[in-house]
Order: sequence, then structure tokens, then C-alpha cells
Amino acid sequence: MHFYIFLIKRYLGGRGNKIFSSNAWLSFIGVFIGCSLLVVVLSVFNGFQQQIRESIFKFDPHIIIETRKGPGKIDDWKDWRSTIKANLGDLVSNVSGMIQSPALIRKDDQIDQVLIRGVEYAEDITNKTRYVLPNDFPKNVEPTNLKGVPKGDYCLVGKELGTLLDLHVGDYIQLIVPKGQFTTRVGVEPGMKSYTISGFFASGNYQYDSRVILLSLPTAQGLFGTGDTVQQLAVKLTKFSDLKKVMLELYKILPYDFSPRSIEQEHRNLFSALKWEKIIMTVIVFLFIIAALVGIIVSTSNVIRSKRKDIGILKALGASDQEILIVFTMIGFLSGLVGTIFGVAFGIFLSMRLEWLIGTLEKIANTLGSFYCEHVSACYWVKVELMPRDVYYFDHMPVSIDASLLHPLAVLAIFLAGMAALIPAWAAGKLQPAEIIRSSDT
Amino acid sequence: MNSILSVKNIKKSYRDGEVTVNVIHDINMELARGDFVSIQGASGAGKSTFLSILGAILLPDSGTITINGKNLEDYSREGKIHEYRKNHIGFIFQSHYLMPDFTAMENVMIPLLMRGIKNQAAKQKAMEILSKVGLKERANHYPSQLSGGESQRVAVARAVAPEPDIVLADEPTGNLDSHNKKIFIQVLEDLQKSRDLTVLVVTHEQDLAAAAGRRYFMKDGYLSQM
Ligand SMILES: Nc1ncnc2c1ncn2[C@@H]1O[C@H](COP(=O)(O)OP(=O)(O)O)[C@@H](O)[C@H]1O
Ligand SMILES: [Mg+2]
Repeated sequence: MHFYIFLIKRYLGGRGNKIFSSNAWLSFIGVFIGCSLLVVVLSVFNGFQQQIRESIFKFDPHIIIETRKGPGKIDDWKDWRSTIKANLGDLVSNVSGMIQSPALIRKDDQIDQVLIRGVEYAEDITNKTRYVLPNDFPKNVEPTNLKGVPKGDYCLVGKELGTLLDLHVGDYIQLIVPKGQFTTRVGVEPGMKSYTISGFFASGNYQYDSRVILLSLPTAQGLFGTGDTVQQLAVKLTKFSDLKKVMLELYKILPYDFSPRSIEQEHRNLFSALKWEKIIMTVIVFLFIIAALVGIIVSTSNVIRSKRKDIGILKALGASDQEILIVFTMIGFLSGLVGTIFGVAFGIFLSMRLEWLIGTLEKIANTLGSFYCEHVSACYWVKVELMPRDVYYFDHMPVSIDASLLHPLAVLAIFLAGMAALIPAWAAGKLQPAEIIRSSDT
Repeated sequence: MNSILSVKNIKKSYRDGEVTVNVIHDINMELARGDFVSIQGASGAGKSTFLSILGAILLPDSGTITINGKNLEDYSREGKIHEYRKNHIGFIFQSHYLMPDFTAMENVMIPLLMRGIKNQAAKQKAMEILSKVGLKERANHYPSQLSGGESQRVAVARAVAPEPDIVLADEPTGNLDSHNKKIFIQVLEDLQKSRDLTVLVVTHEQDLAAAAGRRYFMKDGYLSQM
């Protein structure tokens, strides 16, 4: 043991007990850069995915149950709600009635097409004239302290739609729908009603924020004139991972007339895009690791080449193949280990400061650019925006550091560093002293 | 007789393409514990080859080598040649072959650590033997900071420190000037006597050869006692 430590310490650090020799630095830096970039890339990818999932999942039920012949009325929805709750127990956190239907919105002389969503709010116990907003309701609501909406003819409007039509809290809007129906059909008498805007919501999903108007379920039923019926039953799961299981259960419980649809089926394109993103991400991860490994193989080979004579001497003194193998594997492994630890730490640091980093880069580029244009060459500097806020529908850079992913990756990186070092170390162990030590010459 | 080394009918040839050159024809030798023997002979006679075989750096084509009751062949069959080197041999080469990244003391410590001796004990032992070869003050110098004579004495210390059954030296004074040769011979002789070492030295040097109790001469792959 002392033997190994003795040799490894010196070969890793060189004379005078530096921490790293130049070759060890090469291994270290390769792994360090690889790992820190890896962490940043993963965190950004992960953040984007999470943001997208969250913005949809926050707003949408996990499963929607409709009648099989398209969106029609469900009269006995309260019975079905009880049945589902009773059968699925803790698997579901909430089952509620929902109405979803296209409509026209009129504000003064503007008319636009919107999607109405009638959702069940819970009644405010302290103030019977109000509903409370559900817990999973998007956090960024305007006014920011909005906890509930009044009963009656009030609505919540998507923030982008509000901007588009120049709407404000307290404004009146008119909603036009086909009466007695949920869908527009020729020859149906239109219903039209006025509503007061009690607030705006921002789900983070542009599709929704620019189109959806939320009504309480009874208000929506009043607008469509359908009585106490709903169009859909909306199921929220306790754990999203139970989705498949719950879907199977629902198929068993529900009669043929009903068809449940999961959020994954609903957003098939998005989910497959996310899946592809994951695959691409895996490939990137793989490339990073390969690059770092090549660094380790090269630098370990360098160390071994420069220590060839030492290896011959050690073997002549009685060192075994295995001892030599261990010494040189450990050199690569340790630089990989230290590189991984510092790389991951630095990557996490960068990820957390990414917005600041991008901002700083923008600032530097713009300062240099405008300086150049003003003082060096007469030109007009167009400001660089690395993350155009209007392209990415995020109010902040979505970074999410996934420890459960980083942990196995770090372990894998360290393990592979050892394996990479093993390749040249293996050859080093096989070196024969006779090939190196020529006692007859020199 | 307290035999420590027994060499019987050793043969060795090198194949150089199509040509096979017989270098060691048939060598027999017996050494007892505490023997100090020298081998002289012209360049190309096969002295280094013979020493390399004894040190298990080369394997013989045929013949047996028994050292302290153990057969080289047994080690070789079990793939444990390194054990043979570690357990029985201390090698001194013509060139000192010190490891450049390690100080004199560390170079001496390495074979001790390799044998599982703890750091502190190895350090102590290395210092002890370095003072015996007159290099106490030089213990923390790197080989590049040592003269040729000093380096070669460190190499002696390294070979002797683990108390091997036999010390093999291949023209150890070959690269030294006459002053350093003298010191070297003195040091080797003292160590050999005080520790009752078994030493086999190949040399051109009359002084060194004469220091040995028994002298051999090698010619064309045959060994004869002088
Ligand atoms: N690896 C080798 N391959 C081929 N021939 C060799 C090799 N090593 C030594 N020889 C030859 O073997 C003979 C003996 O060499 P060596 O043992 O070094 O002699 P000495 O040490 O007595 O000068 C020489 O002719 C030399 O050229
Ligand atoms: Mg020779």
C-alpha cells in the first residue's frame, strides 16, 4: 500500500510534491472541462424540459375522459366522479368536471377566437361569494396576490391574450358560443354573455396564455346553457409516474361509451420531441465522455512513455505486472476522479450563474461592439441578445440541476476514467525489463 | 556447504533473424552464503547475459537455477518471476539506473516498500544504509544532483537494503573514474564483509576482481575458475 501511494504520488505530482504534473493536468483538464460542460448542458436541457412539462402539466389534467362520439355532454358526471375516486383511491389526487370549447371573444370592435375552459373551483369557506384558486394553478397570476375569483360572471384571461387585445383587470368582454352545444354546428342559436376580467394567468405555455379564458364550471354551464352537465372529466394523478397504471384501470372501470385520453397522447408531438431531446442529450453526453477518455488515454500513455525506464527498473527490482498496472491505472483514474469532482462542482456553479453569465457575455459583446463602432469604424452596432426573450417563452433561463442524473454520470465518468487509464497501463504492466534495461551497453 | 545458489547446465542463445548465436554454452556454478566472486572476460563473452539470467531478467533456454532452495523454473511456471527477483536478487547495473523522480533515499526505499515494509521503517533503513555508503548528506538529492560515483553507491544501497540472497553487479565501476572506483570497491567490500553478503560481480577492473574471494573467467560462453 505504501509502495503504491509512494509511486502514485510522485508520478501524479512530479518532483517536489506538486499536486499535478503537466501530464496529470492534461487528464485533469480534459475531464474537468468535459464534466463541467456536461453539467451545464444537462442542466439547461433539463431545465427546458422541465419548464415545458411544467407549463403544460400545471394547467392540464393528466387524463381527460370524454364520451367516445366526440365532445358531448356527460349528464351523470358526478356519479362517475365518485366511481373513479372510489376505484382509484390514492392514485388520483383530484377528479373534476370540465368544459372545453372554442368561442369568440368580443372586446369593443375586436373579435378573436379563443378557447373556453370551465373548471371546478372550490368554494371559499370564509367567503361564500368567492371561489379559491386551486393549488396547482399557475403561480404567475396578475394581480399577484390573487387567491380566488368571485362567483358569477367573472373570468380569468391568459396574459398574452390580454396583451394582444389590450385587456385590463375589471374590463368587460363578451363571449359568443353556440347555445346548448359545446361545438359550433350550423344552425345553432348563438349565446352571448358579458364577463368581467378578474385577473390574468400565465401558465408559461404560449399556446394557452394567448388563447384560453377560464370560467368557473357553473359560469361556463350558464354560458353554454347546458344545465349541470360537463363535457369532460379531468383527472389529476398523485404521482405522474402512475399514468400508465391509472389509464389501464380507467379502461377497466369505464364503459365503452367513455374514452380516456392521457396528456401524453394529447401532446404526442411534444412528448416525442422531448424524447428526441433526451436521445440527443445522451449522444452529447457520450461525446463529452469519449473526448475526456481520449484525454486520459493520451496523457496516461504520455506518463507511461516518459516513465518507461522506471518501469523497467521497478520490474528488475521485483515489481509485478499487476503492481505496475495498478500504479499507472491509478494515475489516470485519480486525475479523472479529481477532474470529475471539480468539473461537476464547477458545472453546477456555472449552471447556477448561467443567466448572469449570458448577461455578462452579452454586455461584454455589446460594450466592445459599440466601442468599435463609435471609435474605430463608423458603423451602427446592433445589440446582441444571446437569449432573445421573445423567442424563448421563458421569463428566465430555465436551469435545473438534476442530482439524480448527475450522480450516476459522475460515477460513470470516474469509472470510465479508470477503464481508459487501464488500456495503456495494461501495456505498461506487460513491459519486460530486458526490453528496457540493457546491462551490457551504456 | 551452505549453498545459496546452484546453477546447472545453463544454456542460452539469441536468435537474430535466421541466425542463432549460442552465447552461454554450458555453465555450472555453486555459491555459498557469504561468497564474494568475480567474473572477468572479454567483451561479448556472455557475462551480462549470464547475470541477466541469474537475475531472471532473461530466461535460460535450458538448465536449472536453484536459489535458497527455490527453483527459478517453479517461479516461471507459476508466472511469478517477479517474486524470484523480489525475494532473492539485488541488482547493480553498469549504469546506476536510479529513478530520476525520486531522491537517493526514496530510490533506496522503493524495494523496501515493495516488500510491504511501512514508510517510516523503510525510511529509517534507507538512511541507515545510505550512511554506510557515505551518502547520509546526499539522501535528499535527486539523481541528477548526484555525481556518477555517488549515484552508483546509491544503487549499491538500493540493491543491498532489502537483504537479498545474492547481489549481482554487472560492471558496476564501468562508468566511474579511478577515484570513484576506489571508493566504490571499498564500500562494496565493507558491506559484503559486515553483512556477510553473497556477491557476484562481473568486471574488467582488476582491483575489484581481486577483492573477490573467488574469481572466474568467462570465454565464449564457458566459465572457468581462475
Ligand atoms: N538481445 C540480444 N540479441 C542478440 N544478441 C545479443 C543480445 N544481447 C547480447 N547479445 C550478444 O550476445 C553476446 C554476449 O553479450 P553480453 O552477454 O552482453 O556479453 P558481455 O557482457 O560479456 O560483454 C554478444 O555477442 C552480444 O552481441
Ligand atoms: Mg556486459
